[in-house]
Amino acid sequence: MTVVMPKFSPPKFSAVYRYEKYEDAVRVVRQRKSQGIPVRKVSDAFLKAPADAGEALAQKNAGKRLSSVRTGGYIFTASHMQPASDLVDKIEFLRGVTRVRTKSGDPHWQAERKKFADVWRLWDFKKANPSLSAERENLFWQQTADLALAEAEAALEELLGVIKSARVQNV
Amino acid sequence: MFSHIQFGTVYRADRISNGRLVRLGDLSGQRIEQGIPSVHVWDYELEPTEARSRKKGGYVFTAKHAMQADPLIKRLRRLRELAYISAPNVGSFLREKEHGRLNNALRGEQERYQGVDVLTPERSGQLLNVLSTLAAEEFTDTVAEIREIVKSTRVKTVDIQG
Repeated sequence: MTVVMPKFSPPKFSAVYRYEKYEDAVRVVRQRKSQGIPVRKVSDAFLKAPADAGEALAQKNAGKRLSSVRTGGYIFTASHMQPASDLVDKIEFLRGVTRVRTKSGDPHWQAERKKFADVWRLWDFKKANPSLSAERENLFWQQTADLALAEAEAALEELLGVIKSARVQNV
Repeated sequence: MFSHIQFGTVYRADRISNGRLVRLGDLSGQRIEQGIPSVHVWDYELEPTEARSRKKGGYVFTAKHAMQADPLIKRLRRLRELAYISAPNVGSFLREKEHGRLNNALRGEQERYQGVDVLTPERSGQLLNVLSTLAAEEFTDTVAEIREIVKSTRVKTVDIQG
């Protein structure tokens, strides 16, 4: 006699939630956290093309953050949380890099470039000698920003892929 | 001894007739011992892809010329290394060594900052190529600046007895 073991099926629950109102997002995040489930919330504003990072910076400078526009968004939980969170961190970082193309007259120019010069290990030889002329350094930052933008776009596609591949539940 | 070397001069030293190499380092070191700023540059260093082994000769800058040339020569040496990455005539060993060194530095910094590899290896490579190409252009300009110092003064050829 053959004994057929019943297949074990873990309890199913959505790992990605769609919210339309910010208040709903706050409620779900609080609930999940209290259950010990890691969560990461991403707004629709964040999911805009990275090229819009310039717009975000302009709004930030004008005292208004793009992320403060409370449209809607997604909440990643459980197994979807970590891959989504890594991608969000990466996109945030790369969007920062794209800002190094800010013009020299802008007050953020020096701060942004100095911050990322450390990251790209340019500063070590710049401290010893100003190795590149101002014009070439500017060109270098333009190219760096272009590459960062391309990488950010690829990461955003990946993040949208995570959403598409998941069973998304409205909250 | 190079007793004929005078203060504040640019000296030109070539490979001497019997084939012995002029010791530029010794020559400038002697000036430094005397309290005179001195710096030397080999001819091969003024060429972007010339091998180190081809030390034909070079220049010794002293006193005020040394003060002008020193930052340029330091910059030149760093730019030369960076330019290896995109230079077609440089041996693959040097090119890969420099590429690897910068790439490791780049990756290390990215990991320290973010915990993840931010740029794909392909884009990291593109970034290093951009830097290298710009460094090669800057190298050419820096060599021109050094040659300008040489042109602006009366250069004395060092006559060294082997």
